Amino acid sequence: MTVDTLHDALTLLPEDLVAEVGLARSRPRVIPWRRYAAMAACAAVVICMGMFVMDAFLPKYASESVAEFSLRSSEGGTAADQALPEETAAAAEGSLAQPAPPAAPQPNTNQAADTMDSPWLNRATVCYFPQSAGASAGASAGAGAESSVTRLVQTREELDALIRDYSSDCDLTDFIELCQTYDRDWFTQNSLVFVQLAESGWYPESLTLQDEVWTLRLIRDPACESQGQQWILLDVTAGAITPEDPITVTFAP
Amino acid sequence: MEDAQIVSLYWQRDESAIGQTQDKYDRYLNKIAYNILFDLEDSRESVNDTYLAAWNSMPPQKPNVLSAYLAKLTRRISIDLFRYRTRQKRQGSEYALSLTELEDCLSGGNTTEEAVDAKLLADSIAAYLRTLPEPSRRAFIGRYYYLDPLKEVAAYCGMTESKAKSLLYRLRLGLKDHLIQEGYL
Repeated sequence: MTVDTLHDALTLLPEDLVAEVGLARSRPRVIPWRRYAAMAACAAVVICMGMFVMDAFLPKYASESVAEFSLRSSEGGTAADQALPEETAAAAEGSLAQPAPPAAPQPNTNQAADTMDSPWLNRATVCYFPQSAGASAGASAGAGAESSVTRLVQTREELDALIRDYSSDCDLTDFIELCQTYDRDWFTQNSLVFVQLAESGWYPESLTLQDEVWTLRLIRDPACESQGQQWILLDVTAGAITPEDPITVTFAP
Repeated sequence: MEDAQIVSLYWQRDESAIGQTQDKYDRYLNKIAYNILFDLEDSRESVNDTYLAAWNSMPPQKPNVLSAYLAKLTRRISIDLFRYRTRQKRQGSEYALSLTELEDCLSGGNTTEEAVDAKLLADSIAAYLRTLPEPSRRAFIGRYYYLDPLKEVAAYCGMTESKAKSLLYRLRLGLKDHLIQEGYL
């Protein structure tokens, strides 16, 4: 038998065998690594676009400021006499002394907006009042250590009443001092929700005050074990959130 | 146009059948011819001969898979052309001349017996190929029927060139064993 014989025999192979391979030959070739490379490239583009959009259109995250501020708090001193990070300070002053312009109303049921990355934080004025570690140590024995509270504050008088209510259990000195530095009228012009978080040293990772709709995500400084109590004053005037909104506080590691 | 419609055109002796075949399979057939002849002009000629052979053979032939049928014609014509061309190149050699002269003493080829033998051998090879997993079968037919370069075979079989090479080596050994078992070697 010669190779020619073999080739002549191959020419006579059944059509089904030949056609099967003919189909495979004509198909577009898929090179596996190229598929993954294309997917990786797409993912990179999407991530870059996302970062660009966030950088360009959204202010810096409050969480970063909180983390930084918490660290400072842990180093001692009161919140009032510590310099806030620039953006937090600007946000706090802007929200308290000069109320932020109302933002476009956002439906409360928008589940997509319930993360830190969502723009809702920029629409509502959020003020963080972290307490110093020293002050929180004194307050840890208080009832506030095991629970968190939310209260609607419409006027400065209501805020004073709230402070009176809770100052017996918690040390709100820092908060009071901070509030006194802002324009009194602003408390009347805006609807505020006061959220007092429980002792940050041990409250659960996810603290749901009601059902989960809004998520307020704070980034904690891992180097700071005790960050003291924290308060959040949410400006609900713009309608981005309402006093009835449930708030979930989560802490990113 | 569907293959069945093209075949029916051939059966109706409608000359547009060749045009339709050309539209659909010209590139495919040229590739097969070029793999064998490695010459554009020769492969063009071979493909034209294929259209003529298809015209002459349908009817009575009525292929189920037109592409495979045309591929078979192209392959046969191209191999014949290749052999002829190789013979022509050997013209200067007295040994080659004596081979040509001595061929007259032998049968002219394509005897019924040889055709039957070739068919039996083809059936035996087909039986062997059917025992193989699909990628191996694809690689073997791609390399030795369509005569595609190893790189292309590896690409459409979804493997690396070296893997395709070693696979084909094992397949050749397997075919040899099979042919020995069948009494061809």
